Amino acid sequence: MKRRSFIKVAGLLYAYSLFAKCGAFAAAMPGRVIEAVRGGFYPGKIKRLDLKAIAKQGEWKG
Amino acid sequence: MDIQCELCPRGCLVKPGQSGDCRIRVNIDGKLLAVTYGFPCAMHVDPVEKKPLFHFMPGTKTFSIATAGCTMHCKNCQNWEISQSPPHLVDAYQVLPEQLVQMAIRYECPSISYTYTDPAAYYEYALDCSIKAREAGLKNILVTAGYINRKPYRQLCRYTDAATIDVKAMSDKFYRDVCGSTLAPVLDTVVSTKEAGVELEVSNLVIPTLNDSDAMLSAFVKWVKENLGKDTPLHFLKFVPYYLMRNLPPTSEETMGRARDIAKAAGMEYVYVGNILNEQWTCTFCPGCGSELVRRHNMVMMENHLNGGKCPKCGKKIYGVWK
Repeated sequence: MKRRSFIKVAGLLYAYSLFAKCGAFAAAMPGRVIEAVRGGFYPGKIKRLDLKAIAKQGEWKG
Repeated sequence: MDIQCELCPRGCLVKPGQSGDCRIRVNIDGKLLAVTYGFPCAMHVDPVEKKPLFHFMPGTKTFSIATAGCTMHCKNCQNWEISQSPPHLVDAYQVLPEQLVQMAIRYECPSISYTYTDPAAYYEYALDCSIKAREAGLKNILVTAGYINRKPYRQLCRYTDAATIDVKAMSDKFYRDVCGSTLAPVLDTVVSTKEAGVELEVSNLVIPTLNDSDAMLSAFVKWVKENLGKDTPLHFLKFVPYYLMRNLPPTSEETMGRARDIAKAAGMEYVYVGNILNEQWTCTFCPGCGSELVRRHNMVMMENHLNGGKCPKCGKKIYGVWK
């Protein structure tokens, strides 16, 4: 089975298992399937947004 | 089906499942998608002077972002860990354009800067953020190397208020050897920016033995004066060894002074030297009477004597946006 077809079939299974409240089955899916279904296609890791860290200012602050 | 990308002069022919040279645009099921759209990997609150931008809203903060990837591959890149890495190796935040604008407002930044890597690479995200920022009354700043096609760039310029463009050297060989690109499209971008009415400043990183000769510096200054005007702010930046160019020493203060002297002798009115702690080289002087107008120290504006964008002594109008 081609990779894309696998993702599609597995994605449908994943969505159905969530709908049917089979959490354990959904959690057992490969990570790439879960990522594909959840939308947003950034291929890397998503960082937690820490607003305080972003606002931190350096030595330049006058 | 292969797709031809028309964003930058490289014109990558992208095969299904593969990315272009910028590593951002991927051919997914026959559509070219920017995988870093909405996923900035760097977000900081910077002084606008850090861009470097000395003639645009001095003393203000700017909300600065970047995503992974770049249209150029400079061997001396100082942000190479994000610009030269494929997105799947760079951790990112998930921030939609609307959220980004809200964050800039929350941190009292009157502008958003698209910087660190290159907005030419994360074009779609920069464009949408610029549109949303403009709607919210914020200014947009591009910090770019200018390696982008004219048509998409003009579209981006419609929402851009200020730009700093880095011209690496006046040599196509330099661009091919050091940056993996070409010179002509960059010069075209610089001219397009001026034509679009965007507040423009030009920078040049002076690298020992590669682009620090008198001939190279003079050619750069001459081109800027003839094509952009003598009132265009020029920034000569000191090279610091990074990435694949750690074999060269940092640029000496003497060389930076020589670059400044060449530009001054050619008649350029606003010449600055960056990455060096020398107050005299980062101050703005009136080209008319020579009085000190804006004093800066290590990227911080200390004093601003301008009166409505004019010299308080002789009344000469100073290039830039000063409100």
